[in-house]
Amino acid sequence: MGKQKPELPQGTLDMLVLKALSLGQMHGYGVGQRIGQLAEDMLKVEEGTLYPALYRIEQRGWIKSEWGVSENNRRARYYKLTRAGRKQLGVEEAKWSHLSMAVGKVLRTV
Amino acid sequence: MVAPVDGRGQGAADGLKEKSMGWLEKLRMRLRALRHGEEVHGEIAEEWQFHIDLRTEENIRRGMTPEEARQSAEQHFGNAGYIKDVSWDVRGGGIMETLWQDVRCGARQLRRSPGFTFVALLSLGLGIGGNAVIFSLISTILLRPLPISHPEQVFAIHQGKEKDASYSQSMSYPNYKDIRDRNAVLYGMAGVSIRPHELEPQRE
Repeated sequence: MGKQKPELPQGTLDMLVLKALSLGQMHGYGVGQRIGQLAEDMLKVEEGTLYPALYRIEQRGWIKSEWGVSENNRRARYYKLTRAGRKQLGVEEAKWSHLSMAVGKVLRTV
Repeated sequence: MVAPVDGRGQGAADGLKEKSMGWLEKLRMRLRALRHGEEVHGEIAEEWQFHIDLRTEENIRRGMTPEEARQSAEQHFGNAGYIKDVSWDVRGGGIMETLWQDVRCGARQLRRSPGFTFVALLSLGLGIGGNAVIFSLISTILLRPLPISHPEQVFAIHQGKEKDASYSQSMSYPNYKDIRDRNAVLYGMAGVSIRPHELEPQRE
């Protein structure tokens, strides 16, 4: 992998957002932080791209949002996983492990 | 079988019936973006400002100068213009917004060339009006049956001439009464547009 952090493959960001929100409701900044922590800073995510992803996922009905008050007493938009979102996370996780396993097998072929 | 993992689209949806935002809810959101675009833009801006501020504070805690901290926060956020465009694809007015823009553009063009507009409107008006008139005539005369249960059993009786089929005349009330009273064919009979006439003795 070298020193460079790899960019996320197209579409995986949505899955990571769902995962981050499965730990409890959060605002956009917090979602970014969580993903960063969970990946132990091995991933490079342009933080701004989180927002279109959040809006898109909300439209699919997998998360819901509402204004709330942050830890430092500011108005912030909080996102929360819906039941459909929890299910979707399961589906995506299964697909992802299948995919990474398959790709791994191919690449390990001598 | 390896299914591509693609949160953006179809790949993510199969296997599970996605229960997406109701169409009504979506429509309301799009309409809101259309009518109160400033408000929606404002909300997005507020959300992002919150993000940048928090990142800036975090950077300061890590020992950057305030200026460096803000610069770095903005850099980490990415290309805000592009992200705004992508966001507006989801949050904005969608097709309706494009449509509305087209309508306004069209209206401007028409206002710019009133002569053309006049001719176009006139020919459209005449065309539509003429068609409507012709159709409503045909509809009442040919297409639409009488609004009763057995229109085929209704007849109009005129007074005529045996040798001239085109001759048709109204009949006198006594004649009508005679026919009505001796009628054995129809269920009943009624006179229409009965008009009294005055007779004057002829002067010599």
